[in-house]
Amino acid sequence: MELAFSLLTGAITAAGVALLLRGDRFRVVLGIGLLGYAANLFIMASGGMLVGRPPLMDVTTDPARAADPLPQALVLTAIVIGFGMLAWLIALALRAGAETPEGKPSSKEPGS
Amino acid sequence: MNFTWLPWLALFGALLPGPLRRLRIDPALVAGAVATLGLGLLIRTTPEVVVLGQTLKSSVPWVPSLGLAISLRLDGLGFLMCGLILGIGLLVVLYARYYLKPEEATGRFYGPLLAFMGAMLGIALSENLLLLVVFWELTSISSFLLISFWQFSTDARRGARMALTVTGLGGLALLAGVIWIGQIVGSYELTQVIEHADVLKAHPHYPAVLCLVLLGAFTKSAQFPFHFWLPHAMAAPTPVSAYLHSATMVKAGVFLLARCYPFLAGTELWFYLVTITGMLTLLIGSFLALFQNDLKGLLAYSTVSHLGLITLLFGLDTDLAPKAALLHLLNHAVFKASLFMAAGIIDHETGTRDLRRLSGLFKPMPVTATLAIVAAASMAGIPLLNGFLSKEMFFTETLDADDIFGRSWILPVGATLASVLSVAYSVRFVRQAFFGPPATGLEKTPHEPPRWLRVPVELLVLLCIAIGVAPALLVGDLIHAAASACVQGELPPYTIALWHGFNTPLVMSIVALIGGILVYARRERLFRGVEARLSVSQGRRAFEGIVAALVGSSQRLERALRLDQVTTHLRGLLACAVLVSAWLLLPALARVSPTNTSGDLVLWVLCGVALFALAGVLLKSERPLTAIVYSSIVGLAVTLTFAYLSAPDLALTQLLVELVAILLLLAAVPHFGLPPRDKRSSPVRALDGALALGVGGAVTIGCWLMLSTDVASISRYFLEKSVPLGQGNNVVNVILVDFRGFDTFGEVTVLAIASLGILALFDHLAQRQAPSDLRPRTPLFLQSVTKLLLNLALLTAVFLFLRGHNAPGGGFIAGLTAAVGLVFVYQARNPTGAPARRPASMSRWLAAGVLLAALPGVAAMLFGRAFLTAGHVHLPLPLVGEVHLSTVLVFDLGVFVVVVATVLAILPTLGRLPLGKPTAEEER
Amino acid sequence: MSHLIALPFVLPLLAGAVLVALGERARASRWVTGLASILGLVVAALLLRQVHDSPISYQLGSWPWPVGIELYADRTSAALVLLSAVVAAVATLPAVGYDAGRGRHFLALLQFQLAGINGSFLAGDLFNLFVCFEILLISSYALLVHGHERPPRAAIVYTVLNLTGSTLFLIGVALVYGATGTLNLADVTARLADLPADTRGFGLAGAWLLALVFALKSALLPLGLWLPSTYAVASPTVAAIFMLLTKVGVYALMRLYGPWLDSSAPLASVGQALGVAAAASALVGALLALASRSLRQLAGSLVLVSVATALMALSAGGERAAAAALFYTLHSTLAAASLFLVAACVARLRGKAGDDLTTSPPVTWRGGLVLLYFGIAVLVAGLPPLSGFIGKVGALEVLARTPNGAALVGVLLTASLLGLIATVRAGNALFLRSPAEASRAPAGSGARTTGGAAALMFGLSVLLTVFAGPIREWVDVAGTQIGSPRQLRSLSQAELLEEPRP
Repeated sequence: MELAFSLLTGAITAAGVALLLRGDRFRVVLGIGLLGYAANLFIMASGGMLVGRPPLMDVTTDPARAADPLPQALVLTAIVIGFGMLAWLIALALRAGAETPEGKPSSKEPGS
Repeated sequence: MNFTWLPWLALFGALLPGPLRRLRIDPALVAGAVATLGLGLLIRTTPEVVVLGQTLKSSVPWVPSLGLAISLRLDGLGFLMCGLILGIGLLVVLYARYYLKPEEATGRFYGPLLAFMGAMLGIALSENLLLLVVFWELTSISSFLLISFWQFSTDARRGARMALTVTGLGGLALLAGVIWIGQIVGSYELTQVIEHADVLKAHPHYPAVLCLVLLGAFTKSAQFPFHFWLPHAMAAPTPVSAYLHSATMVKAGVFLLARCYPFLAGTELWFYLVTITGMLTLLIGSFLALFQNDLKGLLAYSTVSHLGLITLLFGLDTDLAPKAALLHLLNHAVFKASLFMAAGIIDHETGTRDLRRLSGLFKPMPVTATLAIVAAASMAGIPLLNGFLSKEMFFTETLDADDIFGRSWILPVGATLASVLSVAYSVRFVRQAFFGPPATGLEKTPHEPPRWLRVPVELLVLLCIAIGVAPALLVGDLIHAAASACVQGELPPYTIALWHGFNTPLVMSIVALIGGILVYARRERLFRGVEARLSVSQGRRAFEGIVAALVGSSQRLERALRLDQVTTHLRGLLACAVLVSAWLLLPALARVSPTNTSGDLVLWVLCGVALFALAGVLLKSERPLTAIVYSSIVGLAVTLTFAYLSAPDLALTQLLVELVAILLLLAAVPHFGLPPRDKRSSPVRALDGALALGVGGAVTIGCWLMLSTDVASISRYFLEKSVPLGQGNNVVNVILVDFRGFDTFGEVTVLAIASLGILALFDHLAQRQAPSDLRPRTPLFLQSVTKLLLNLALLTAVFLFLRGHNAPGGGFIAGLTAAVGLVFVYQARNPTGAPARRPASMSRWLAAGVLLAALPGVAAMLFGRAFLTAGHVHLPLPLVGEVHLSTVLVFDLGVFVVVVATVLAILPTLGRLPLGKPTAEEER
Repeated sequence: MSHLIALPFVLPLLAGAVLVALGERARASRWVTGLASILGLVVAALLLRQVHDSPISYQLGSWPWPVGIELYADRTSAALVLLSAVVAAVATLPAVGYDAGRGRHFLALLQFQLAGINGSFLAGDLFNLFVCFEILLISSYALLVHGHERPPRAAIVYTVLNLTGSTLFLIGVALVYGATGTLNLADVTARLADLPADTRGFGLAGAWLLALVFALKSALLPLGLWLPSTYAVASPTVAAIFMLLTKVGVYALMRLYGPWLDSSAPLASVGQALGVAAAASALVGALLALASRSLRQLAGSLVLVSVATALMALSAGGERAAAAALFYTLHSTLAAASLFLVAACVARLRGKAGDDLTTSPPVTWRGGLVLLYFGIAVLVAGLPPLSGFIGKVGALEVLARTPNGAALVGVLLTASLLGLIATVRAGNALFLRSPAEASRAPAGSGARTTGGAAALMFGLSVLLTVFAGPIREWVDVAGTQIGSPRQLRSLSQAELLEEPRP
C-alpha cells in the first residue's frame, strides 16, 4: 500500500508540474491546485500510514497505536493556506486581463 | 591641535562651502583658511620630523574587530606629501578664486576640493593600510566630482566617469592586496607590516599581493596601459588639473610605491614590474606629448611621462633611487603645477588652448610667458632649475642599476631617449605658444591676467629657481628625511648638489638637450604621418568600447534569459529540486528495503481513479469545464485517501474546501477565455515532460522512503497529553487550537489577508457596480428550500463547531459549512451572483475574526502566561452541572468568523466580474 | 515572563487588523500606523537589549520544548527585527500620504507584511516559519499589485514562482519531519547533522529543498532572477520594505545551516553550493545592473549583488563569517532601501518619466537630491568610507581565508566595479545632463517626504559607519551565537512526557 500511496502522490505532482510549465493562467491555477493536493498527501506520509485508527482519544484508544496527529494538523493548516493562496491566484489571474496582449506588462509605477 | 587634525580639518571644512555660499561668504576663504592652518600645523612638526627624522604616531580605534583603526603617522615621507598637498593646495585655492567666475557654483567646487585635500592628507598620513584604502577611494570620489564640475559638458562627464572607473578598478585591486597583506601579517598597521616584511616577501601569495598593490598604484599614477584616463580628466577646470593631475592625486600612486617600498620592494619581481612599467610609461608619455595640440593635453602626457620616471626610479634596486624619486616627485609638482596654471591663464585670456591657434603670446603677456618658459625649462631639465637636479640623479641611478634582461644599456639609453623627447615637447610648448607671429582669430585679445591669478605661478617658479640653485639648503633635509622614511633605514651619504663634476650623467643631459632641440626642429620629417595615426581618443575609445560591450552583452543576457516568462523561473527552480533529489534520494533508495509491500485494494483503486482523472485534466485542459471536473475527481480521491488513512478532520476540511474552490473556479472560468494551445517547440515540450516526470518521481521516492522508515517523533506527547492537558479528545483539533495554536492563528491571518488582497484588487470594480438589482429572480419554492438549507447548514455548523474539540469538526470546518450554506442562499436568491451585502463590508468581519482569535492569546499574556496559552474554566452551574469553558473556544470562534467572512468576501467578488476582456474604461 | 519576544509579531498583526476595521478613515489610519511604527521601534530596541547577554526562548501556549511552538531570539534575530522596524518606519513615511490613497488596505497590508517578516525572524519552529513566510508572502503579493490598474506580468511571475516555492517548502518540511520526528528548528538542525543511515537520504533531501526555497527567497542564482523585474514594478516605497524579504531568506539560511558550514556535517555541502551560487549571483546581478533601464531595476539588480555578498561571506563558514554576513546584511538593507526611496523621489519629481534611465530627461538640478544620490551610490557601490566598505572588508576578510578565496575575492571585487559603473551611469543619466534637457514637469506629490525618508535612511547608514566599531563587536557575538550549534537539552520520549508545562 505504500507504493500505491507514493504513486498517487507522485502522479499528482507530475501532472501539476506539467500544467504549471504550460505557463498560461488557467493551467497554472489548476497546476498549483494539484501541487497543493500532492504536498498535503506528502505531509501525511511523513507520519506513516495507519488505517482506521484516527487520533481520537477516548478511553479505549492506545496512544502508541493511533495515527500521528501532527502531520494531520500540519496538513489542515496547509490546506487552509493553500486555499487562500489559490483564491488569490485566481483573482490575480482574472485581473491580469485577457491572455492575448502578452508581454505588455506595465513596467512603470502608474502615475508616479 | 597636532598633526592628526590635518585630514579632518579639510574633510570637515568640505561641509562648509555649500552652506557658506548661501550666506554669501566666499567659500574660497574657508578653503584658503584650511590650507593655511594645515600648513601651519605641519610646519610646527618640522623640528621633530624633518630635522630629527622621528615618526609621530597616533591611533584611534574605528572597527577593531576588522583591524581598521584611524592610525596616523607623520614621518619624512608623509611630511613631504603633506607639504605638497597643503602648499600647492593653498596656491590652487588662490588661483581658483580668480579663475572661476563668481557666478559659478563655487560651493560645489570648494567642497569637493577640500574633501580631496583631506583625503590626500589621509593617504599621506595613514599608518593603517585599510585606512589608506579608505582615503585612496575618497580621492577618486572627490576627483569625480571635481572633474565633472562643468557637468553640462559631455567631455567632463565622460572624463570623470573614466577616471573614476579606472582608479576605482585600481582601488579595488589595492583593497584586495591590502586584505591579503593583513591575512599574512595579521595586522594592517604599517609598523607591523614593515616588521614582518620578510614573512610577506617569502609568502606564496607575495606575487599576487604585489600585482594587486601595483595595479592600484599604476592606475592612480596613470601608468601604461592605464595612462589614457589622465588626458581626458583635463576636461576639469584648470585649477583641478594643476592640483590633482599634476601635483597630488596622481602622485598618490607613486607615494604608495614609496610606502610599500620597505615591505614589497627588493625582489626580482618588483624590479622588473616597476622598472619596465615606469620605462614604458616614460617613453610613451613623452612621445605622445610631442603630438598634443591642446596645451593641457601636452602637459597631461608630460605628466604621464614624469610619473613613469618616478615609478622607474622606485623600481631600481640602487640605494639612492628612492631619494632621486622623491626629489623628482617634489620638483615635478612644483614646475608642472605652475605650467598648468600658466596654461590656464593662457586659456583664460585667449579663449583657446589649441597650440595650432596660439602664437606670439610673449608680446602681449611677457610676464606670464617668462614664468612659463622658466617652468618649461625646468621640465626639460635645464641646469640651475630644479628639474635638472632630479634628472641628473635619475641618469646616475639608471647607470648604477642592475642590468635589465641582462643588458646594461637599456635603462640609460631609454632614459636619455625620454629626455630627448621631453626637451622636444618643452621646446614645442614654448616656441609655439609664445613666439612667432601674433595669433589671429582668437576670441579674446590676449593680455596679462589679473595680478592675483599670476601670483601662485610666480611663487612656484621662484621655488623652481631657488631649489635649482640651492637644493641642499632648501630641501636637502626634507628629502633626506623623506627618503629615510621611505626605505626605513640608513641611506648612503649623498648631497643633492648642482655640480657633481663632469660625468656621464652630465653628458646624457647635454645629449638630451641637443637631441631634443634637433628632434623639435626636424619633427615634421621625423614623424611624418605619425601624428595622424595618433589620436587622443584611442584609449578613450577602447575604454568606452569595453563598457559599451559590457552593457550590450548584459542587455543581451537579460533578453536571452526571458525573465518575463514564469516558465523560465519555474524550470530553474524545479530542475534544481530534481537534481538535489536525484543526488540524495536515489542512493538512499538502494539502501532501504521495503518493509510492507502488501497490496491494499482501497488505495490502489483510489490511485487508479486519480491517475485516470489526472490524465483527463492533462488531456482535456483545452476545455476548462471538463478539466475542472477531472481535477475535482482528483480532489475527491485525495479526500477519500485522507478519510481512509485515519484523518477524518482532513477529509472533512478537504471536502468543504474543494467545494468552495470549485465554486470559485466555476465563477472564474468564463473570464479566463479558452486556454491557448501548446506553442512550445517539441524539444522544450520533451524537457518539460521530463521535468514533470522527474519531480513526480522524486516525490514518489521521497514518499516511499518516508513510509518505509519508522521514526520516533514528538507526536507521542500530543497523543498522551491531549486529554489531560488539552481537555480534548480530538488530538488534531487540540493541536490546532492549543498545542500549535500559533500556526492556526497565522493560517487564519493568511486567509484574511488573501481576502483583503482580493477585495483591494477588485475594489474599483466593486464600487462601480454597486448592487443595484436585488430583485429575486428565483422561483419562490426554491427560495424556501434554500432557506431551509441555510438553517440546516447553520445548525450543522454550530454542531460541528462545538464538538470540534472532541470529535472531527472545529471552527474551520464549521465556518466553511456555514459559509457554503450562506453562499447557496445568495446564489439561489440571485443567480447573477450579486450578494445581499457588498463584499467589501466583509473586511470588517475579517478584522473582527483576526482580533477575536488573538483575544485569548493576548489575554493570556496579560495574565502572565505565554501568548496563546489556553485557559480552562470549570463553572459549576445550577441544574446543568459543571460546564467546561475554554479560551480556545474564543480562538476557534475567531477562526470561524474569518472563514465565513472570507468565503462571503471572495465568492461574490469573483462571481460577478465583468468579462475578462478589458472594458474601454479600464483600458483607459 | 517577558512577552517582549511575541510583540514584534503580535503588535503589527493587531495594528493591521485595526487598520482594516478602520476602513477608509484616513486620519485615524495614520495615527494607528504612526503608533504602530513607534511601538515597533521601541519593542525592537527593548528586545535587542534583552538578548544582549543571552538568547531568549519563548514557548508559545506554554508547552514544553520542543513540542510546542518556540519563539527564539538571539542577537541576530533581534538585530534583524530592529532593522525591519526601522526600515518599515522610515519607508511608511512617504507611503502614508501617497500610496495609501491609491487602493484599499495598503497600510494594513504593510503591517501584516511586517508581522510576517518579524515572525520569520523569531520563528523557532520549522512549520511556523512556513506559516510566517506565507503571511509575508500573501501580503507581498497584494502589495506588489497595489496601485496598478492591472497586475503587471512580473507580479504574476512572482506569485506563481513563490507558490511553487511554498509547495517545495512543505515537501521539505515533511521530509525533515519524517526523518527527525521534530519540527523545532534547533532540534531539527541538530538532528539533521547526525542522521542515522536509513533516514539520512531523505532527511538531507528535505534540508536541501529547504535551502532551495530559502535561496529562492533571498534571490540567489539560479533562482533569484525574478527579483529585479519584480521590484521594478513595485511602488518604490513598497520595494524599500521588500528589502526585508530577501533578508528573511538569508536569515533562514543562516539559522538552519550557519552552524554547520565549517563542520564536517553533511549539511556543510550546502555551504559549498551556496558559495558557488552566490558568486554567480554577484556577477550576474552586477551585469543586470548594467543592463537596467530604470533606477528601480538597477536597485533590484544590486540587491542580487548585495545578498550574494552576504551569502558568499556566510558560505565561508564559522562564526566570523556569520558575523560578516550579518553586518553586511544590515548595511545592504539600509543602502538598498535608501536607493529605492531615492528612486521614488526621482520618479515623483519627473512625473511621467518616472525613474526611467534611457530616454527621459534628467531631473532639474537639485543640489540636495544629487548629493543624496551620490552618497547612496557610494554606499551601494561599497566605496569608502561608508558602511558598504566596512561590510565589504568584513566579507573579503573571511573569504580570503577560504581555500578558493582568490576566486571569490575576485568575483566580489569585479561585481563591485560593475556596480560602480552602473550607478555612475545611472546618476549621469538622471542628474548630470544639460539643464536644457532637464524636465520642467511640476514636481509630483510627495517628492519632499520621499526625499526626506531617503535622507533619513541614508543617515542611518552613516550612523552604521560611524559606530561600526561597537556595532561590529556586537555583531561578532551574534556571529558566535548563530554560527555555532545551539546547546540543546535532549530529552527522551519518557522524559518529555514527564516535562512540566513552563
